[in-house]
Amino acid sequence: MFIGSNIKGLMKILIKLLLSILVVMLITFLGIEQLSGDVADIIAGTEGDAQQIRNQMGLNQSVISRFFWWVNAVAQGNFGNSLIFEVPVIDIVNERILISAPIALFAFLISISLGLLLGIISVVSNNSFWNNIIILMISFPVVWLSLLFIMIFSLSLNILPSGGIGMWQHYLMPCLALGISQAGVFARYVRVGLLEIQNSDFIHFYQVVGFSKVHVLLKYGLPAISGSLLSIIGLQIGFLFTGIVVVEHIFAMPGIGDLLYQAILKRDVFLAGYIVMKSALFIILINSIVDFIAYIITPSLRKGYNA
Amino acid sequence: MHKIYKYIIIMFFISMLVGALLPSQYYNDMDMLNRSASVSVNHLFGTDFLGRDIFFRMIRGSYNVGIIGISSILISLLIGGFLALLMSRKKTNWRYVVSGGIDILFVFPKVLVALILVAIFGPSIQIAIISIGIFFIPVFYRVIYLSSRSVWQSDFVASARLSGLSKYQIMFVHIIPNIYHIILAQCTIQFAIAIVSEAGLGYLGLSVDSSEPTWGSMMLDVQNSWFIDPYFAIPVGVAMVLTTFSFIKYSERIKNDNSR
Repeated sequence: MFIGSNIKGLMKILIKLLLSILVVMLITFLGIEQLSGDVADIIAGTEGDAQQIRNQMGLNQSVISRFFWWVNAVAQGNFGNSLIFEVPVIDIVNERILISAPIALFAFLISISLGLLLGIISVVSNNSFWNNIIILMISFPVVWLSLLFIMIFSLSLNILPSGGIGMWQHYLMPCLALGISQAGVFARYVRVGLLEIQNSDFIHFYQVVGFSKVHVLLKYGLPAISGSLLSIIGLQIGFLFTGIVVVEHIFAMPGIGDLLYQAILKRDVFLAGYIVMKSALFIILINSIVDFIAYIITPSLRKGYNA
Repeated sequence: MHKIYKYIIIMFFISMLVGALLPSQYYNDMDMLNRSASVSVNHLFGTDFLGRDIFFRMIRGSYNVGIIGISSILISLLIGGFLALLMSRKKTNWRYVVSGGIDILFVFPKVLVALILVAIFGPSIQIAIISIGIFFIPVFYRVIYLSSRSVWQSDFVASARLSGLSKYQIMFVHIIPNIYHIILAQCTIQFAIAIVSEAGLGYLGLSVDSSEPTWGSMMLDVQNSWFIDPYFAIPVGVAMVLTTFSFIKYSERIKNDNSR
């Protein structure tokens, strides 16, 4: 099987994953260190002995040993308490993730399906109109699209709520705004990939044999570019996170993005650190899985043609 | 038809120049008697909820957005481009290290970078430049790496090497002129993406401090005056979409002209 003969490529993905995790942990740790300042002075107040507290808490040790101490604590599931809510950060985050998950999921589905559809149509129709539509979708920032939706559907027509959570109507505008602006980017990658491949020999060959262009592009063109499209999908997850912070802020939805924003503004370092770490790790993990799938389904990657 | 894009881009740069020279009383003075005013002779696009002139704020905003876009592109082009030119020359093991590091950068969401930096240093225009620039490094690295790899293999580079030119001389004399149009097209499209990204960061209040307007932070002002006059975001939004659209179309033109 290919796994035996292609250990090197899989090792590369694994090493990248481990290094990324290390980098994320380091960034989070340094961020928490930088933001929290000297805790010992605060705890000691005016009467206590700050030096003694530093010794007790291990703060006088080197940064590297403290980093490994912190990693050890995190590995055991101990992330500390939130300074705003005064409960363990894991509880709050698990609660808020339930609000963000549907937005992310539906926006992701909209962006992939709409992007694939528009990309294929723009190549098949060979018409600059559809290309302009794609570029227009990229040009609309999530913020402006959301504000436009609120102006039209909430303020003028008064058929959808402008913010909050609870009913399915609340999720309609955020998912659409996020999905459409992401779909433009994905459609462009589909378009560029198909345009590149439609001049290659095997596509011409199938057309000469008598298949229609649409049939050839769908049945043989898309699988050929699916590897690169998959890695784009992995990256889309990262873009989606940026969008979710913005959308939750506009539509006043208390999800994970809004929580992160509040936590950083209010200097709740443990909460912010936990969210940053968890979301970054999630995105990195998804990317590694996607890389792995792309590696399996793309022969050229396995044989090392793609340097 | 394509000329329109050119004129919009020229207009953007003119408004950037005007914005650079604009005294701050034009865009920061509050006309308290005319708050949330509509279109009039005194205020071309009306005023916002604090009575500040929207037209002048847009012009000043275009200057700030332009500075963010140009600086972030310059930073990422220098770092990403230089690494890509070096790495595409020979197949060394350093390539894995560099491209692995670049991949990690690409995966990290830019809003996280911006939020962490703002939490530590407070919002400023440099934060926006850095967090957008970091996000652009992988893009330039990949594009320049892929396009310059074949140039390094070509015969005229080999003959230049035989005649005794160092690798840096070859880089500037042969490689960069050959991929110049690809770099230019990518810069144009990244500028459009920088405007879109700045809208998100500015809306979250992460791009500039409150004394300066950007197109993103003007969107934030809409939220504050939601039930008075939400429609005053329209000029900014239209300007943003037109500029971004023109820059992307123009970059496609550069690509098409050179591929023929």
